[in-house]
This record gives sequence, C-alpha cells and structure tokens, in this order.
Amino acid sequence: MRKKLILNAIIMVGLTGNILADSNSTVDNNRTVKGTTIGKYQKPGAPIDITYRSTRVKLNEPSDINISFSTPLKSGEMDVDINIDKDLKVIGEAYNKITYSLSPNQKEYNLNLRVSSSKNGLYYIRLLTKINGVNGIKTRAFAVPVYIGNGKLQKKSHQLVMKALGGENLSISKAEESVEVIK
Amino acid sequence: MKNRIYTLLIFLILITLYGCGEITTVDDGTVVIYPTPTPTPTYTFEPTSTPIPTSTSIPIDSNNGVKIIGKITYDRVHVKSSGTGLNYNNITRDSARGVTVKLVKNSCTSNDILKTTSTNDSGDYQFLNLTPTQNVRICVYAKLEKRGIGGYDVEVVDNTNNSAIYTMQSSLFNIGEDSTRRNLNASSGWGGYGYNRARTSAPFAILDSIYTAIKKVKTADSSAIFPKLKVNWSVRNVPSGGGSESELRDGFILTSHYNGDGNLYILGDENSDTDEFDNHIIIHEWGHYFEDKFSRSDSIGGSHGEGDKLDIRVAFGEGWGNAWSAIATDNPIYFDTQGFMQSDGFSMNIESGNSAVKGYFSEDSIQNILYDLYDSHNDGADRLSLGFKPIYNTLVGFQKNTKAFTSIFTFITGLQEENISEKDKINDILSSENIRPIVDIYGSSQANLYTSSTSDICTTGENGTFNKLNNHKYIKFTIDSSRNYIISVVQNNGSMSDPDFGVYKTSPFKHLGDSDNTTYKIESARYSLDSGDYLLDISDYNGQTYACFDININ
Repeated sequence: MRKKLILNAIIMVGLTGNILADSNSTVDNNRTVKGTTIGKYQKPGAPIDITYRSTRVKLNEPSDINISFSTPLKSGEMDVDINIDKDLKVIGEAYNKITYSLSPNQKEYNLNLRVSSSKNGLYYIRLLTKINGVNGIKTRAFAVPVYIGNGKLQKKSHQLVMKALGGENLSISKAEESVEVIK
Repeated sequence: MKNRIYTLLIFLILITLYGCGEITTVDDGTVVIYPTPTPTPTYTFEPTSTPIPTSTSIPIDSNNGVKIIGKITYDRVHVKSSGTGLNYNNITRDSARGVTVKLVKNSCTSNDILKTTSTNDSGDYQFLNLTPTQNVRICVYAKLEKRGIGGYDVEVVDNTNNSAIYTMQSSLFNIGEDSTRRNLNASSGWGGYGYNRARTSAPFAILDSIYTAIKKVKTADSSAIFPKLKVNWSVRNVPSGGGSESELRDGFILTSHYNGDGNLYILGDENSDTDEFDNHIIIHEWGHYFEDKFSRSDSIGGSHGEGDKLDIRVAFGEGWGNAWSAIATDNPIYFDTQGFMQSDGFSMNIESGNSAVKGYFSEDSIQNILYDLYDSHNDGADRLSLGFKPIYNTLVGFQKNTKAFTSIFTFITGLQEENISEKDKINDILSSENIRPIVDIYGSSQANLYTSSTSDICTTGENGTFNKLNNHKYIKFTIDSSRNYIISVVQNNGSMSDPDFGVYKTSPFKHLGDSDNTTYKIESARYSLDSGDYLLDISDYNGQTYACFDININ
C-alpha cells in the first residue's frame, strides 16, 4: 500500500511537472515562419506587398528576420516606419525608419533584422509603409510574427469570456453607467 | 483509509500549486464560470468631459408601471481633420442604434431573461411594467436583430476567443418601487498613451457603421432582407497571415476583408492597424457582402492599388466598395487610420480625387463614376444625380443575371437600359474617365478581352500578375449537346507558361470549376456540360510577359 501511495505521488508529480513545464517550455526545433501578401486580397492602400521569413527560436537565441517589399511603382520613395515589440531586443543596428528609392531596375526592397528575447511569447515587428501617389500619400501596415520560446501571445485581454447557459460564448466588459430615479 | 486520505491530500496540494491564479481564458476554449452574484449599490460612472446625456426621447408614461428606460451609447473616436490618424481629443458618445438589450437575473450568461428589446435610432431602450426583483443586470449585445420583412441578423464576435459575442453589462442592481433612467456607455478604453482598458466601444462602432449601410439599402428597398452576417473583430487581429481557418482563429487575418461566406474580418491591432473607427473601411467590406448576397461579383480578388490596371472584375468590385462607402455615409472622404497610436494613415476623396490611371480597368475610375452617378453635386462632366435606387436596382437585377463577367461594362449596360433618358449624361461621366460609350456587356469596341475564337488567345503580364488587365482572357463558347467534354489549353509560343482555366455557365450564371494543375504549357480537364452558353477564363500562372494559347473543347 505504501508503494502504491508513492507511485501515485510520483505519477501526479510527473503529470503536474508536465503541465508546469508546458507553460515555460522551450522550443526544441527551429522552425521557419513564412508569409506573403502577394496574390492575396488587400483593402485599398499603398500598392506594396511583403514577403517575410522569421525563425522560431528558444529564449535568448537570435531570430533572423528577412523581409522583402515589392511594388509596381518604379520611381519615388517608399518609407517604412518600424515598430518592434518592447520585449524584443534588436541585435546589431536598430532602425525605426528606412527610406527606399524606387527604381525600375529593382523588384524587391529588403530589410533584415536579428532579434531575441528573454521572455516567451509571440511578438510582432510592425511596419507602416508609405508611398506618395497621384492623390497624396498612401499607406499600408504589416505585422511580421516572431516566435520566442513557447511562442504564445502574452497580451492580456481586458474582457471576461464566459459561456452562457444557452450555449453562446460571451465576451463581457463593464459599461460606464449613470443612474437617475425618475419622479 | 489513511492511505486514501494521503493520496487525496497530495492530489489537492499539487492541483492547488498549479491551479492558483486569476481567472483567464484558456487557449483552446472558454472558461465556464457561474459567478456568485454580489449585489452592489447604485453605480456612479467615471466622470468624463462629455457627460452621458440624461434626457431620452421616450416619453414617460405613468401607466407603464415601474420602468427602466435609458440610452445606450458608445465612444466613437473621430479621424483628424487632416484625414490622417485618430484624434483621441475628439471622442463623441454616439447612439448605439438597433442593438439588442436584455434585462436578466444575475448574469449576462443567465437563462433567466426578464425582458428583451432593441434600441431605437436614438439609442433609447425601455423595459416597462416591471415587478420588484433583486439582483438584475442590463446586458447590451453587439448584435443587430430584426425578423421578418426588412430583417437583419448581424453580430460582432471575437474570432480569437471561440466567436464570443461582445457584450457590455451594467452593474448588479435591484428593481424597487421607483422607475429609473439607466444610461450605459461603451468606453473606448483609451488611456492617453494606449489602450489600457477593455475596448468596449469597438464592436459597437463597427455595428453602427453596418447599421448605416443597412439603412442606406433600405432607402432603395425597404423590404430587403439581409442574410446573417458575422463580424469578426479582436485586439489580436493583425495584418499578417495567409487566410487559413486556423490563422483566422488566431487573429492572422491579413487585412480587413469579407471572406465570401457571410463573415467579415476586421483588424484590431493597436499601433499597427485598427479599423473599428474607420467606417468607410467597414462599409467597403460590407459592400462585398452586399455583392455576394444581393447582387453578384465575379471578382478574383488579389492586391490592388493606385495606378494598377486591373482585371475588369476586380476593378469594378473594388471601385464599387470605395464608392459604396461614400454613398452610404454621404461622405466622400475615405480614410484608413494606422500606425503608432493610430496617428497615421491616409485618406482619399472619392468625389474629387484624380484617377491615377483612367479607364475601364481602373478602380479609381469606377469609384469616381459610381459616386458621380449617385451624388447631387454636379461638377465637370457630372450632370447627373440619380441617387441610390437606380444603382441598387441595376446591381440586384441586371448585374446579378448578366451573362458576362461583372464589370463596368455589364453595370452600365444595365443602368442605361433602365434609365434610357440619362444615357448621354452617363456617357459624359464615362468619357471623363476615358471610357467610350459602352455598347454591350463585353465592352466590345474598346476592350479586347472576350473572343469566340479558340486559337492564338494571348495573355500578358505587362501590367503585373495574378489579377491585372490582360492576365486573363475570356472565351465564349456554346455547347449544343449535353455530355462530357475535355477542355485543353495549350501554349503555342513556347513552353514556360502554366496555363490554368475556369469554366462558367452563363445562364443562370454559375462557376462550374477551376483547372489549375502545376504543369508547363498545357492544362486539360474533363467537364460534364449541358447545352448552353459558357465562358472560359484562361490565364498563365507563371505570369509570362506574353503567352498565347490554343483551346480545344471536344
């Protein structure tokens, strides 16, 4: 009976250990994350497409981010504002803005970064591209995902998600109220 | 027995070590919670610079017993006067029109619903003839619901949280002997340097933009019934991803868009691109829902921007979306706010903006033409003020049933048939965008896109690839006898193309299928075809500068 008790304890520690480890797990294999907007529907905006690659890495390991912009425009300038999540550390030179001179001989405009983080999470490199067209400036926003460690989004929701007895899921937040007795 | 107790003790200790913590949503589902209600005293709202209005347009009638009346509003953050970026110093409390409001016992999750109603066009609601009840709450759902003729069913959900419907709740209170006025406002969540509270108003702002669009359609057809629409918005919706089902559930929606299946997806990622207050974007994308459910769009989608010479189907679809956003709001300034603290972005004037490129292939030209047909402001070549009804009638009638691909050619042919006395004025507007008088649905005499020939049909990548002008050519053919046919498309000027094709029956118009294998030079497939007229849409996936094909149908 004592052996059974010890065995139960070991099993439970093992199970719990797995659960706890999952929330702090590290990524064993590096995986490449790729994406492109080429050929995909886009809402109105600057005529710019993006293709990106980022590597999923462990904590404190550098992730290589390769970004390529393409546009049918052959002259003028393309500005890119760069906004990197605060828990991502840029390795090497950091920019918050880049300007490309557009040329008929160039099809792609590249941006390469190296980042790392000491915290698990799904982070973003947010890019706002701008081009000056016939009717003034047009813009288009992109977000390049960077997976560190467990790669889970850490953003806290301010809503409370609950299941109604009728089966619907509800995302609930508090109203600002005023109350007055009607005479 | 002792050992069982020890086992249970160990189990409880371990679970406590893991399970302690605040209540949060889990990644793979919702947390089911039935909170114990705690009655609270009457709630006093946070003071703001714009107090919640205390008057209501619903008259107080002493014959209605104990009542609760009030107004539901939401914070709308307006665009700066420059048209670039949101102005958090200009937030108005706008009426939440037509939203579902319930009076419930205890919690919004409760099945014990005392009363249900919808707000009117002033955002007012009322619950009448109430009996004293303890522990009740007012729940406001981001939902527009109306049954029957002129009905609609729209809800705003969190696609990253199991499609949870956004809901705003009052505090818990008791119904006594006195009637009360309870106004509820959905706050923006803006804290001065970022969103630091729940962005409660976002779903209601989106819903109100859609309500505007619905109301505009009803000016043309009061009995129109709107099929169910689900609007997916989340703070996690980012301009990234490829559009797969799992990506959409994680918020990788790529861009605000209509998915062709009764779902809108709207961006919500702060410091990147949030669209909840960009009402022209909401209404533009709703315009694609309208095309899908009321009219017809043969657009092949894809990216599109200023200066593009587009496939005629894409040009019309996107030009319609932009024009519709201006028509529905009677505001020709389209804006898209983006960037850090939503302080950037761009705007364009649908009425007076210059077309970067003019023609039947230009999104700019289409939006200018459609808005000029509608608006009451005559300028330049525009001497027409048709209003929305003729445009609506053409879209739901002629455009929906046309035997050619939907384009400015099909739309204008239909519009002129129904408004023959305005033909010259319509042609003047077309001419200002370098479009000659339209003689038929195929754009004959000005666009070399349709042919009945099956030899030497050439596509070109000179305007770009995928969805640009002349990437696709359209072959008209007739089948006399119903049976299986093999359709082959073979390149005759080289072997580096990857031909693909789509087959369409034209009456009634139906997309039968696509053949798009990755093979050089040839594409071939068997189709069962009934007698009738057809269109074959051929293209080169490899985007060769110039690829010519022979077609065989036997």
